[in-house]
Amino acid sequence: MKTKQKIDKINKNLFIIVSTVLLLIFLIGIASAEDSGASYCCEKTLSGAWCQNQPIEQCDSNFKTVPSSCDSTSYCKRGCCFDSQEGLCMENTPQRICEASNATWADSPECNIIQCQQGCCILGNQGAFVTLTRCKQLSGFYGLTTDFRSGIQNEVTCISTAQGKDTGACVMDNGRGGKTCKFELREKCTTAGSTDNNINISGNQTGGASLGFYKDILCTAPELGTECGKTKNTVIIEGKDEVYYTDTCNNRANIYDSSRYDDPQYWRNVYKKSESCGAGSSNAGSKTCGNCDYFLGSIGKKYSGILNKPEQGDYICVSLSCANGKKHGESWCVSDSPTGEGQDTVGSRYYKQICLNNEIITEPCADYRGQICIENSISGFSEAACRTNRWGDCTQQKQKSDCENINQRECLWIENYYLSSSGQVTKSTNDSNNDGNQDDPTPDGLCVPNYPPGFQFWGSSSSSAVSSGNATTPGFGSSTPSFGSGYINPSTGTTSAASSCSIGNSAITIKWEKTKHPLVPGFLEGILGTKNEEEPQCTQNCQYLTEEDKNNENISQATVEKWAQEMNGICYKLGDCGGYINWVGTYTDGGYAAYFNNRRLAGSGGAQILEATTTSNSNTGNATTPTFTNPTSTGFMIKDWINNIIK
Amino acid sequence: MKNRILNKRAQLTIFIIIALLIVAVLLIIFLPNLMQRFGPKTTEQIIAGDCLEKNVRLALNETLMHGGTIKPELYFRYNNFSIDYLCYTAEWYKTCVMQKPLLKQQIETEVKKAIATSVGKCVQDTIDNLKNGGYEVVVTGTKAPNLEINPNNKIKISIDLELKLIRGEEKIIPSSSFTREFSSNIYEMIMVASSIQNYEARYGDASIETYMTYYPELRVEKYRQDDGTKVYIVTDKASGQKLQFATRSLAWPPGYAIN
Repeated sequence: MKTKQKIDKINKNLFIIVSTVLLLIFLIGIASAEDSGASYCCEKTLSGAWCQNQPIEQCDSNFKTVPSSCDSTSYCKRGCCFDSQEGLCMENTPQRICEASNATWADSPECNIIQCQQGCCILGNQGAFVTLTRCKQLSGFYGLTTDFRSGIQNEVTCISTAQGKDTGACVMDNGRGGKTCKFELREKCTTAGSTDNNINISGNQTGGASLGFYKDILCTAPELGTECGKTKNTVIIEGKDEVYYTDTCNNRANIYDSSRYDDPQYWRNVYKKSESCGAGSSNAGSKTCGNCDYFLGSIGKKYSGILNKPEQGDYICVSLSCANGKKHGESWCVSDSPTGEGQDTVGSRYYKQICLNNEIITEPCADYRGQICIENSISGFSEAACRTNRWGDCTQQKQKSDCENINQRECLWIENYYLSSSGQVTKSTNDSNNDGNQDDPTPDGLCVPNYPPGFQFWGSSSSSAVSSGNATTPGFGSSTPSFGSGYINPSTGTTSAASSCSIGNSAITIKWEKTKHPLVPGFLEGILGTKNEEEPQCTQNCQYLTEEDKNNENISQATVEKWAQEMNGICYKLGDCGGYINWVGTYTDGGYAAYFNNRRLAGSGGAQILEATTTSNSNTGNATTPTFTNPTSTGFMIKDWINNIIK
Repeated sequence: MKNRILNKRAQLTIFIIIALLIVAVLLIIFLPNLMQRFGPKTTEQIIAGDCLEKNVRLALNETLMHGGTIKPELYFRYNNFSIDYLCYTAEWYKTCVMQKPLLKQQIETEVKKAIATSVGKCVQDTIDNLKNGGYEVVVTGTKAPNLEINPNNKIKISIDLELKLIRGEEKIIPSSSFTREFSSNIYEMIMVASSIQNYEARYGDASIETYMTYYPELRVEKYRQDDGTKVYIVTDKASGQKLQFATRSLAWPPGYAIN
C-alpha cells in the first residue's frame, strides 16, 4: 500500500514537472517570438507573399498566423512540389502553395524523392537529363518510345550516350529497280526486307550490298551501290556545330574538309569529329575545314562575306568571339570607378560582362557594392564572377594578419590609426608599436573595407518590393547573422548612412599643461615654494600637432585642415561617408563640415572646434587651474566631425 | 510580203495564246492562296484566327512580361512593368520560398483567363453576323478557349465549339476546325525560368551563362536591384519574345549589419 502511494506521488510529481517544462517551453517560444518581432509565420503577408517569417503586423489577418518559424508549421513547411504532368520538381515549396496548384508535395526541400530522381532520357540522337515522368512526356511529344536510363547520373554522359547512338547508311529500294540510301540512326532504319541491320561489307565488294543498315558507313560508299554520289555541297545540321558535306541524295556525309574531297575513304567511312580536320581548334574562318566547335568558339553558318570564302559549299565556321577580342564564353569584370584600396567612388558598382555568341551580356553585381566582381585568367581565358563583398567585420579586426586574411574578408589595413576602445578613430603615437601583440590592447592599425560599401544616404529605398504601391518591409529572422560594429535599422531593413559613417567619429582632446617645478626639489620644496610658471607643454594627443604648433603653443588652421583631410581619407574608406567623388567624377564635400574659429573651412572638410579642454597638472599630481582662457587658441576637441551632416 | 505579214500575225496569236495559258496556270496555282489572303474569310478563319490566335498572342505577351501573372499581387516594379516574384523571401540572408511552382500551368491559366471574355465576345459577334447573313446557327459546346504550351515549340489553342449552319442546306463546322497551332519558343523559356527558380531556391542565385551556352537561341539577363531583388529576362533571339520575372533570394542588406 505504501509502495503504491509512493508510486502515485512520484507519478504526480513527474506530471507536474513535465507540465511545467512544457509550459515553460511554450511561454519561452511565445516570448522569443514577440521579442524578435519577426518570428511569426504568415501564411500570406499583406504584400501578397506566401509563407514568410514576418512581424505580425505584416501578416494578412485573413490567413493563418502562428508565432513560430514557417518551417515548424504544417501549412508552410518547405518541401518538394512534384508536377506529375510535366515531371518537374520544384524545391523549397510550401505545402500550401503546392497543393493549391494541384501538384504533389513531399517533405524534402531539396527534392530527394524517387519521383525526382533524374536519369538520361534518350530522344533520338539527343539526350536530356530529366525525371522519368518528364522523359515519358517528352518522348510522347516527339513521337518516340521512352528510353530512360536511370543508371546514367550526369548530363555530360547522357549527351555523349545519346550522340553515340549508332548511325550509318540505311540502304533501301528506290522503287525503280535500284537502291537508294538514307544516312540515319539505326532504329529509324526500317528497310523492308532487311532482316540484318548490321551488315559488314568487305572492302572489295562493289555495288553488291543488300538492303539494310550499315553502321558508320556513308551512303556514298561504292560498295553499297546506291544512287547517292558525292558533291561539293555543304550543309549545317540542327543541334550540330559543324559544316558537313552532302551527297546527291541530300544525306549528310563527313565534316567538310576540302583537302579530302578526292579521298575515296572520306566518302566511304564515317569519321569522328576528333579524326576530322582541325580537331581541337575552332577553325573559325577556315576556307578548307568545317570542323567548328561551339565550346571552342565557332559554329557553322552560311557564308556572307567577301574574304575567306569557303573553297567548297556555302557554309563556314564563324567565330563566336566578341568585337573586343574576348573569346566565346569568356567573362570579365568592369566597374565605373577605381576599385579596391578603399578607392571605390560613391554610387559605383561592379559588373560582370560575358561574351557569348558574338554578343556581350552585362550582368550587374549587387548594388551598394554588396558584391564585388572577381576575375581570373587561365591560359589567357578569363572567367569572372560576382561575389559577396565581405567587408562587414573589417572594423572589428585588430590584427593586420586577420584584417588581410582574404579567405575571410575583403579589408584594408591602414597604419598609424586605430579604433580605440571607445570606438573612435585615433592616430597612433610615434612610440606606439605593439607589433601585433595580442596582449597589448592598442592595435597598430585600423582595418577598413577594401571595397567600401555604398549606403542609402538619400533616404529609403526607391525601388523596394511593393504591393499595391506600398513598400514592404523586409523582415528579420531571429537567426539573422551579425557582422561588424555598425548597425542596420531593423524597422526599415536598411542602414542609416549617418549612423554607419559614425563608426569613423573621433573626439580628440589635446592637452596643454603648464607645470610648476619646485625651486629646490625634495624636502625644501614645501619651504621654498615653486618656480614661476614655465612654458606650456603638450601632454596628450600631441601626435596631431606639428613642431611649429608645439613651438607656437597654438594650433594652426593648416593643422586642422591636415587632420581633417587625413580623417576624411579614412572616412570614405568606411563607405559612402565624408567628402569624396561620385561615380561620374564629381567631388562633393557636403558629407562633412570643418570649422576653425567658428568659420567653415572651404572645401577641405574636417573638424569642428567645439570647446577648450585645457587642464594643467603638476608633476606632483596636484591639479592646477587652467591658465589659458582663449579656447580656440589653446586646445581643441574634434568631435563628430562627419556625422549628422551626411546628406 | 503578204505571207510574211500572215506569219507575223500567226506568231503574235501564238504568243498571246501562250501568255494566256501562262496566266491561267499561274492563277490555278496561286488563286487559293490569294483568295485565302485577300478574299472573304470563312467562319473557321475568323474564329480560329481573329478570335483565338490574335487574342492569345496579345495575352501571352502581356503575361510573359509580367512574370506569368498579368496583375501580380506581389511584384517588383521594373521599367514600368509590375513583375511577379516567382520565388521570394522578405528576409535577409535566406534562400527564397517558391511562390509559383508550376509556372507553365500558371501561364496557361492566366492566358485563358485573360482571353475568355474577348474570345467569347468575338465568337458571339461572328455567330451574330452569320445570323444576320440569313443563317440559322445552332451552337453546341463552350466558348471557353483551351491553351497548351507544348515541348515541341508549339502553342495549341482551341475552342470546343461546334456550329451547325442552316440556310437551305445544312453545314456543320466541327470543333476541330477551331484549332490553331503556332510556333513559339515559350516552352523552352518557361523551362529555363523554372530551372532558375530552383537554383534560386536552393543556392540563392543562378548562372545565366550556363543557360545561354546550352540554349544559344535564348538570351538570359539578370539585373540585381538595390533591395536584393533580381530581375531575370529570358529572350528568344529569333522572335524577340521576352519572359521577365523576379526573385528575391539570399539578399544582403546594404550597409553594416546589426550585432
